[in-house]
Order: sequence, then structure tokens, then C-alpha cells
Amino acid sequence: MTASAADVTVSAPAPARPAYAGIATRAVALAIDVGIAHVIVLSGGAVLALVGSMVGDQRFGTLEAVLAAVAWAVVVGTYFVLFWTTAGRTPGMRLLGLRVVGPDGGHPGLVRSALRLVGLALAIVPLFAGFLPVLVDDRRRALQDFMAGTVVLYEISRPPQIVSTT
Amino acid sequence: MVLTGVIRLGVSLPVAVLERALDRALAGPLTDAVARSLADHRVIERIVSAANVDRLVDALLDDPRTEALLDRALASPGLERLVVRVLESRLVDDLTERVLDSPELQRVIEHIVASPEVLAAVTAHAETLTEEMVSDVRRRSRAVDDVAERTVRSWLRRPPRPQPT
Repeated sequence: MTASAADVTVSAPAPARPAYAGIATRAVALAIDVGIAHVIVLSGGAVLALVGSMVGDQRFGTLEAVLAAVAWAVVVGTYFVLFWTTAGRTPGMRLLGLRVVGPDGGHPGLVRSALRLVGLALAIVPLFAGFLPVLVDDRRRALQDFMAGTVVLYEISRPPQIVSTT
Repeated sequence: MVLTGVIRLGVSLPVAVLERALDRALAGPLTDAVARSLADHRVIERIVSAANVDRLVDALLDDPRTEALLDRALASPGLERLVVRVLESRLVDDLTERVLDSPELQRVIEHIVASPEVLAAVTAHAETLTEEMVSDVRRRSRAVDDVAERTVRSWLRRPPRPQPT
């Protein structure tokens, strides 16, 4: 037996358990982000190298190597922190339908994003072992999430629930 | 009475005599006089005036015999053989080559390709294709998420994670 149209109302979605993002989706998103960030770094480096070659004979010594490493870290770090803070997701996360949220459910702030960046670096250094907790944690958190108090969620467009009043 | 007499006279006259008489009449000034009269009174224009042509076309199209004639023509093997012969002739190839080489066709193609409708359709198709690819990647990666998690949890003898609602 089905309820008639007069007996049915459309209500707001009920509070639901969030859909935490798993390790494979997060890995693909991270790979895309790393690729984009390195395209930015390499483009900047190529421009600087072109300018240097036009100015004169530039030798790539220890100082230049250190400066290049610092520039790489700044660009890549800024990429992640900027997108986490302003949009709650990086381009790679957007493509994979993910978003990172703080304890209040909103975008992580600047400090929390910076802390998350440090956690991300620490998770990557031991051959990505910092991501393994995602496989066993009930909220699928990685090392950077534990450190920053964040979680990564799937974006799910939830349709309004049909509730019968009879 | 007069008409009957003329017919009788015509039947009785030999054909050769009639031919000579007709030839003389056409060679003389009669033909020019008839032509002038037709032009002066605009007989041709009046006959093929739009109203007359429309009436004629309507009558032809409404006539069931026209439809029957068309059906017979289309069903006839002779017409099929004729069409096949035309299609297999060099004429079609030459015409096709000429059309393909013509600058008019190039202009038509450029016009179609540059039209907003075609561009919108191509863009929409590309967007749909991209969306389908992204959706497919998402679906597959999420399936791998679940498989990897279930596998590791089973190794560690941990209960399955509570599913989202």
C-alpha cells in the first residue's frame, strides 16, 4: 500500500553519520595536488632559469640549491594551506569529491591548516606510513588529521527525505 | 452540319494532301500571326499564373491516381535498375568530386562549424564526457577504499567500521 500525495511531506535531511573518505581516494587526490604544485614550481623555476641565462653565467651552487629547496617548500606548502583554509579542499580533492573539515564542520583555519601541512609532511616521510591509520580508524583519520583535529569527508549530495505522516 | 462535313471531307482526302496543306499553312504568315496574338493577349502568362498553377498542383496532389502512380513507379524494378545505374555511373562520382572541391561547400562547412549551436553541442558533449570520467574515477576509488579497509580490518580481526547513513 502506498501513501497518497496528501499524506506525504518533504522534510529536511536528518542528521547523518558523515561519510569519511578512504585511503585510495585520498591518495589519488594527493597525487593530483602534488602534480599541480610541482607544475607551478617547475614553471617558476623555468622562468627564473631563463632570466638567469639572459643575465649571465649563473652557476648552481649550494646557496642556489638551498634557495630552490626553500622556494619549493614555500610554494607547495602555500598551495595546500591556501586551498584548505579558503575552500576546504584542494583542486585534487575537488576532483575526487572530498573536503576537509575542522571540529566545527567548517573549513580549517590558517593555524590548523599549517599544522595539518606539518602532519602531512611527517606522514609522507616514512614512506607514507602516516596514512595507514586511515585503514583502521573509525573516522578514517591519517596522522595529519590526528595532529590538526580534522577529518576528510566525501561530498555527498543528499536528497530530501520523504516522510509519511500517516 | 459544317463540322460533320469537314470531318467527312478530311476522311475522304488522302493523308499526303493534308500534310501538304498543313505544311503550307505553317510556312505562311499564319504562324507568325498566331504567335503575335498569343503574345498580345498574354495567353501563356494567364495560363501559368500562380493561381492556375496552384490549382493544378493541388488537383494533382489530391488525386488518388497520382499516389497510385507514384506507388507503382517506386515499386517497379525498372526504376530501381535506373537508380542503381545512375548511382553506379561516373556522373555521380564527378558530381561528388565537384561538390567536395567547391568553395561553396567549404563556406557551408565553416559556417556550420562556427555556429553557436554546434559549438554549444560540442562543449556540452565534452563536459558530459569529462563528468562521466570524473564520476567513474570517484566510484572506482571509493570502491577501492572500502576493499582496502575491509581487508586490513579482517587481518587485524577488527569489526567493520560503522557505515555512513
